[in-house]
Amino acid sequence: MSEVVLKGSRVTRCFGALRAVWNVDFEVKQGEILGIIGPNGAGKTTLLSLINGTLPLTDGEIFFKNEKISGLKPFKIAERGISRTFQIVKPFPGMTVLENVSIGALFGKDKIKDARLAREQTRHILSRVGLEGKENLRVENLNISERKRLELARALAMDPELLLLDEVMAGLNTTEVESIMELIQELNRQGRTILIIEHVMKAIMGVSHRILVLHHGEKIAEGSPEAISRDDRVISAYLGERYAKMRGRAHVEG
Amino acid sequence: MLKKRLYLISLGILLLLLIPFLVSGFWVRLVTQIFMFAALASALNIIAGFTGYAAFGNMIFFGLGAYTTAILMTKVHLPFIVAFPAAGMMSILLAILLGSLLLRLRGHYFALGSLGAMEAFRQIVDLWTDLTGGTQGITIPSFPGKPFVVNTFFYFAMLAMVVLIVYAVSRLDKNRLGYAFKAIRADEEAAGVMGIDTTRYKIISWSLSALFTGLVGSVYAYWFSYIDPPTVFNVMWVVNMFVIILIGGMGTVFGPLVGAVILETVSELVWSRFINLHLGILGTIIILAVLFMPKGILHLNWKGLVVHFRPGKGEAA
Repeated sequence: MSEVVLKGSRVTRCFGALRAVWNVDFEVKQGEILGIIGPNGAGKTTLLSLINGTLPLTDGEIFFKNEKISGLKPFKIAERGISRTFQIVKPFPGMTVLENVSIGALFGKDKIKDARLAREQTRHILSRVGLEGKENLRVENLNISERKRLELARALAMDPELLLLDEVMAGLNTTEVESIMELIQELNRQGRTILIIEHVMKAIMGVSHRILVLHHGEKIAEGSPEAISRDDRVISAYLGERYAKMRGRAHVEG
Repeated sequence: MLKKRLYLISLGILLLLLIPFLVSGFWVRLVTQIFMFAALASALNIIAGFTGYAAFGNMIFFGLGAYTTAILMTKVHLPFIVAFPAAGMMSILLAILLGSLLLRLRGHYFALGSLGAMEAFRQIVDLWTDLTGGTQGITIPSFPGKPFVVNTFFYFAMLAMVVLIVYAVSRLDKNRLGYAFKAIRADEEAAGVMGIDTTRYKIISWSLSALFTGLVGSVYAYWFSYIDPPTVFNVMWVVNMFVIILIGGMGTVFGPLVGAVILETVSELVWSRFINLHLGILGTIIILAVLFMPKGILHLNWKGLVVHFRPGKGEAA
């Protein structure tokens, strides 16, 4: 439980003068679910992109299992056992649902050579995300909720050690959110480490062991979900400083 | 149902095998030309349709294959059977070299870059008179035999090219390599995140396309027994291939076949009577194809077509 799998030091990414992610240190332990929250534009998605190499770092370093991964191409990072989902889903059109998912097994760390074998091995993943019966449907015909789940299925097909989830629950209904939450916890019990960005507060607070809060690209708090929900800096980032002060006063008086 | 299909396929194969013995030389040459364009369009389809890179300069490999064959047969006096694979090898080498430079570009930039490479290559061929004969072209020893034998030989040679390429593409539609191409076509970032080495697979895709294009160029050179730069580096042929793919269906296995049959038949039988309007008609077909069947005839929704023509509902699906 205690071994650190992912470590970032002074992780920084600027877009021109904008500090999208600024000097963020973080550690993710083996078998942990770390939630990342923060208001819109806080740099959450940018941080994931820096971890899996789709964006180069401006400064700082990232290590996976004590090896430096910052500076590697995304496919190299994927081969080491890190997979991610995109907030804006990116299905591969012109292929069926099952074919899309099998790409994970073909090119992830397992590198299965035979496409038919990869399709058979990944078939069961579809039922885990509730896409059973849709194997041979073309991905163009999926609705947004199904596309979200396809995104997750594709990441899972890579059999990752570290899974980066970027708002997989957005656009899903309550039942679907609950089933994805169960799935995340089940994946975690299998020993997968998970980094999750989510706007559905109930979901992320319920599923994460630890929460990291970003605001304007900087880390403003880190701790257990209970501690985070009481943290004044977090509350002011989300609800404004006036609210935080009022609440603080009420807290002292009461 | 399956039996009926098998029956139809067997009948089609039998017909293809018998054509040279049933019709006149003119028709045999026309069908051979249809095969050639089907083969070229299928080869282009690998990089343009499956991988999403519009290789407007693909005739560079056709020209290279033709010139490799011509030079090896005339200067080195090698037989066609040796020059033919050499043409394929040269095309692969050039694709790897150009690909590692040009496949960093995306979209229109790659299309223009590959076109520029083709024009530059054509200039080299034009100027390197000692080796290539320059603008004079090269005459290649023609295939021995009576016209019937020659026509029949090249009919089957081009048919074999079509079968080879369409077989390769049909494998790509369902195998690991093809999945990588389609993932790159959809989204290069997402493909990389899935563990696909996008640069490597783009180069493989263009090399495959180049190999087949070069081989067809080699057969063409032997067939016509005379080549010159304006013909084998003719950009209009690439336009033709794109129209064929558009008509038939981008990224489909049999689309280029269907497209080639339609376009080349129409071209030969109708347009040859309207020489001056030839390009105008080609342009009109391109516009109509893009507007009304952007995914090609194989994906055309015939019922949907009625909806398309209803006023106010003209959104192309």
